[in-house]
Amino acid sequence: MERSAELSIDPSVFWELAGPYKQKLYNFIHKSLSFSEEADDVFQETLLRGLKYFHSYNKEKSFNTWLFAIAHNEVKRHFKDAQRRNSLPLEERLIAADERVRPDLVREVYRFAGGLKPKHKEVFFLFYDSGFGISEISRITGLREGNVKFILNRARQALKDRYGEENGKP
Amino acid sequence: MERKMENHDRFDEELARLVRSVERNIPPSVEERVRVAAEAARAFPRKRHLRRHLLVLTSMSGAAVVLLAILFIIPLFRHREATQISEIRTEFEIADKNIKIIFVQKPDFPDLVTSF
Repeated sequence: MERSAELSIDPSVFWELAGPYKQKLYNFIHKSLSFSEEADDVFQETLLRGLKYFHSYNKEKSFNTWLFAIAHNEVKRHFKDAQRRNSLPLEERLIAADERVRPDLVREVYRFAGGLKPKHKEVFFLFYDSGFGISEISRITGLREGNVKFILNRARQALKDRYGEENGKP
Repeated sequence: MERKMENHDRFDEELARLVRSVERNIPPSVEERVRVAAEAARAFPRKRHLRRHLLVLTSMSGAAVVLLAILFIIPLFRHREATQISEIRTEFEIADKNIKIIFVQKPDFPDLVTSF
């Protein structure tokens, strides 16, 4: 039965579906792992797992959410090693940001994100970087919507308190 | 894009803009690495099936050996009825007198037959 399921899956369909989301996925993983060198491995593992378990993907649901849920699991697996958790100063690894924004603010925001717990950092980037909504983040991370809102509100308030008031905007 | 924060405002938009202003492109080397790994992973299930068949074959033959061993060993431990003693013979020999005395005890004891 498993064999026939494997044979019926055409990998090209997976790559076709994953194509438009790869860039977003790559950035989400890199940002969640504070631009660690291991992020490339996590990205690769995410895609390979997606390919391997593509037969279990429910085509009536969002492929995007399914793929990011795999990425979330891979990021979580990465952080299981406690030593990795605090090893990366995220803001120091930033590459040049868009010229239309203030680099100091970008650095401050990323410095703040770098200080978040791994799970909170994921939620932060899923919302502000990948553009997912609360219910989608809930499906991706397995957190309740209330928890997602709580994490986001806390991060938002902390950023507002820190930078919003002195600059008028972040 | 689904936004469901009740208090979502311009601050969030600005924040998203700042966060997204940093973007990394997937390096071609990573793309290539993923492609190679995916092709290797595609080849892997065939090996896995072969290994699975071998595993099934090995475990089946192992089970057969164990079954045969059990079939042969069980009779050795099976309880056997002891044969009934039909007689008890006790012999005495006096060599220098050339005499031999044999007591034969039969099941219908106390009748004792003594022969020389």
